[in-house]
Amino acid sequence: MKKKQKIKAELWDKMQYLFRNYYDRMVHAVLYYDGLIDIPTLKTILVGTTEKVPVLHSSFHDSAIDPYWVVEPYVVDDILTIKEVDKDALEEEIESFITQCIPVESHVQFKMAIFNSEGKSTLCMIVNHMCFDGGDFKYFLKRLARNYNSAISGTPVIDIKTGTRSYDQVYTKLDDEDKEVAKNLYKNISQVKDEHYFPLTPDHPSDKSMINRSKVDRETFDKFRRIGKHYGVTVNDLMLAVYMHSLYEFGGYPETDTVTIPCMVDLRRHIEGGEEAGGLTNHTGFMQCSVEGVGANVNETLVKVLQSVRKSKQDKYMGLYSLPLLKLAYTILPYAISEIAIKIGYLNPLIGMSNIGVLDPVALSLNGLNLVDGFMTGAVKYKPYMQLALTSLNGELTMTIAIRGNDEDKKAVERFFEIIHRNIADFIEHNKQYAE
Amino acid sequence: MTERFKKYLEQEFRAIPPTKGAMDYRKATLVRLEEYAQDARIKGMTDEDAIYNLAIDSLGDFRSTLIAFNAELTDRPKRNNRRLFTAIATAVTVLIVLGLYLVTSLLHLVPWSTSWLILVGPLFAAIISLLTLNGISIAKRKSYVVPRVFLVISIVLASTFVFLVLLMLTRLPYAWFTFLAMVIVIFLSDTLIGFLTKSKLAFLESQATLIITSALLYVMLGIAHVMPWHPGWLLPALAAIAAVAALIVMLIHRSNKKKAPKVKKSELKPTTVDEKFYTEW
Repeated sequence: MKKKQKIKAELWDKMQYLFRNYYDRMVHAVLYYDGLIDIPTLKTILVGTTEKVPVLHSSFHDSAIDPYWVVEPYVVDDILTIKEVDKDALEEEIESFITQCIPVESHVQFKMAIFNSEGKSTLCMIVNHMCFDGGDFKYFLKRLARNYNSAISGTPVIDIKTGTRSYDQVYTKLDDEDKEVAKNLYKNISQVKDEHYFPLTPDHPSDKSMINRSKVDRETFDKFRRIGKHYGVTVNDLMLAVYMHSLYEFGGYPETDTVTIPCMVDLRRHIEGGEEAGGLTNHTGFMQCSVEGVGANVNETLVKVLQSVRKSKQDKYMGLYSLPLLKLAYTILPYAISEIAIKIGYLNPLIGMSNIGVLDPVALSLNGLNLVDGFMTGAVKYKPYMQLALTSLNGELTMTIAIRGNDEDKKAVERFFEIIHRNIADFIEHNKQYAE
Repeated sequence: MTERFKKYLEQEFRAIPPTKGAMDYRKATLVRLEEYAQDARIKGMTDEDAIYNLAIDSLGDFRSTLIAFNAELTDRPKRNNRRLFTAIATAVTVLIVLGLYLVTSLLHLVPWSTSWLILVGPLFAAIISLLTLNGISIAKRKSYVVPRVFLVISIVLASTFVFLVLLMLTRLPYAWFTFLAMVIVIFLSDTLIGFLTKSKLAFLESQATLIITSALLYVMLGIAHVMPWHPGWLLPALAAIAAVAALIVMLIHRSNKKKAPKVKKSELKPTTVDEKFYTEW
C-alpha cells in the first residue's frame, strides 16, 4: 500500500487549530448568481483545484510533538452538494449548509453547495480556517470563477497558486534592516485587557451556530462613502467608528470607558507579489483600536478612532508583532507544551471587527452569470466572543455577526444591527452637505 | 491646504540647517498638521482658513521647537540625576544588608558560620544585576560577545551561591552537582542566545550542548544511582550520534541550498547640507 503523503503544519495552521477553543474554525461565503451554474464544469474545476492544493484534501493530525496534515483520498461528492430548492426554503438551506463545521479529521477541508431555485444558482462554500483566511478565500473564489470560465470557453486551465504556506513570507517586502527588526518584534499585542463584552445570553448546550446578516443599501452606503472621501478617511475607519459608537450604546458601557477592539489586517501588504505569492494559507494579523470614551456623536468617535488607528497605519510593521514570539514557542517547545504556553499568553479579544473588503462582481462572474448578491464572513464565535465582518458587493455593504447562540441572541444581534443602521443614518444626516 | 502647510514648513525650517534629520522632521510635522486639519473638519469646522490657523497654532512656538530640535541633534545629551539616585539606592541597600547581617548574627538568630551568606547573596545579586543591565545595553548595539560572557559570569555566580546554600543549610550529599548543572545551564542559555541573535555558530553550538548535556546527565544520574552506568552510556553515545547526524543533514542541506543573490544594503543618505532638505516632500 502506498504510504500517505504528509504535509508540514505551518505556524498559522497550528494557531488556527488553537482557536478551536474560541470559534468553529470555518470561513464562509455565499454568492447569488442570476442564472444556473454548469455543474459538470464546476466539478471538473473543483477536482482540478483540490488536486493542486493538497491541504484541501488532507486530514489534520494533532501530534504532541509536531502536528501534520496527511493527504487523503476523496471524491468530488465529498466536496460538492447540489440541491433544487423552493425559493422560500432557499435561505434556510443556505443557513443550514454554511453553519456546519468540518472536523479536522475529515478527508476534505472545504465544502461547496449549489442551491438552484427558479433558474438561479446560489454558491455556498465553507473552508477550514486552518487552510486559508479571508484574503485567500477571495483569491480562491476568483480563481475558481476564472478557471470555470476558461473551461466553458474550451480552454480548461487550472490556475491556482501552489507555493509555500510559510508564515515568513510576510517579511519579503522589507529590506534587510527592517526584516531584522521585524523578526525581533516579540511584543505580545494580544495582551490588551478589555473586559467589555457583547451582551449575549449565557452559554448553553442547545445553542446553535447562526450567521446573522444585515445590509446597508446602495444609496446609504454611497452617501456614507462620499462623506468618508470628503474627510479623507477609509470605509474601514468609518465603520470602526460607527461600530464603536454602537457598542457603547448597546453594551451600556460607561461613556468614559476605554474600549479596545482589534481590527483584522491582511498581512499580504507585506508580501512581495501580494495575493498571488506563495500558496493558499493564512496571513492575518490585527491592529488594536482603542478609544478613550465615546464621542457625543459618530463624528467625535471617528476622531478618537483615527487618533488610535493612525499610530498603527504609520507603523511599517503593522500586524507583524507577536509573530516571532509564536515562531519561538513553536520552535523550541514540543507542540503540546507550546499550545499550553500560547494559550496562557494569548488573550482572545471579546469583540472584534474584520473588513473582508470588496467582492469583485466581474472577477467572480461565471460565464456571463452575474453575481447579484453575496457576502463572506469569518468563523462562528463561541460566547462571549463576537466579531463584526464586513463585505461589500455591487455598492452594498453586508454586515455579518456569526455566533453560537439562541433566538434571544439572534434578537440581540438584530437590535445591534438596528443601532448601527441608526448611527449610520445619523452620521449621514449630520454630514449631509458632503453626502451628495 | 496641504500646499499651504508645505509652504509654511519650508519657510520655517530655514531657521535650522538643512539635514536629513530636519527633512524627516519636516515631513512628520506635515503629517501632524494634516491630521489636525482632518480632525477639525470631522468635528465640524468648515472654514479652511480657520482650520489652517488652528493647525499652525497647535504647533505652539514652532520656531523655538525647531531650534531645540536642532540643538538636540548637535548637543550632547544632558546628564540626568539617575547616577545620584543609583548611588543613594545602592548605599541604602548596603546599609540594610549590613544591618540585617549584624542583627541576625549578634542576636544569634543565625549562627556566624552561616550568616555571612546574607552578605554574599546580595553581593552576587548586585553583580548579576550590573552585568545584566550592561549586557542588555551592549546587546542593543547588536554586539553580543560581551553580553554572552556576562551571562556566563552571572550563571557561575548564581550557581556558586546555590551551592553554598545547599552545602551549608541542607547538607545535601550531591550539592556539588550544582556545578555540573551549571555547565548545562551555561550551554543551554548561550545556545538559546545564539539562535535568538542568529549567530552563525548557533547550530554547531547546539550540537555541542546536546553532547555535553547528555554526558553530564549521564555522570550525574550514574553517581546518584538513578541510572545504571551500563547501559546508561547509551545516553551520551546516542546524543553524539544524533549530533553528528544533524550535522551531516545540515551540511547536505547547505550544499543543496542555492545561493540567494545578495541584497544590497540600502545606501545611507548623505547628511550633508543640501537644498533638497529644505524643499523635498
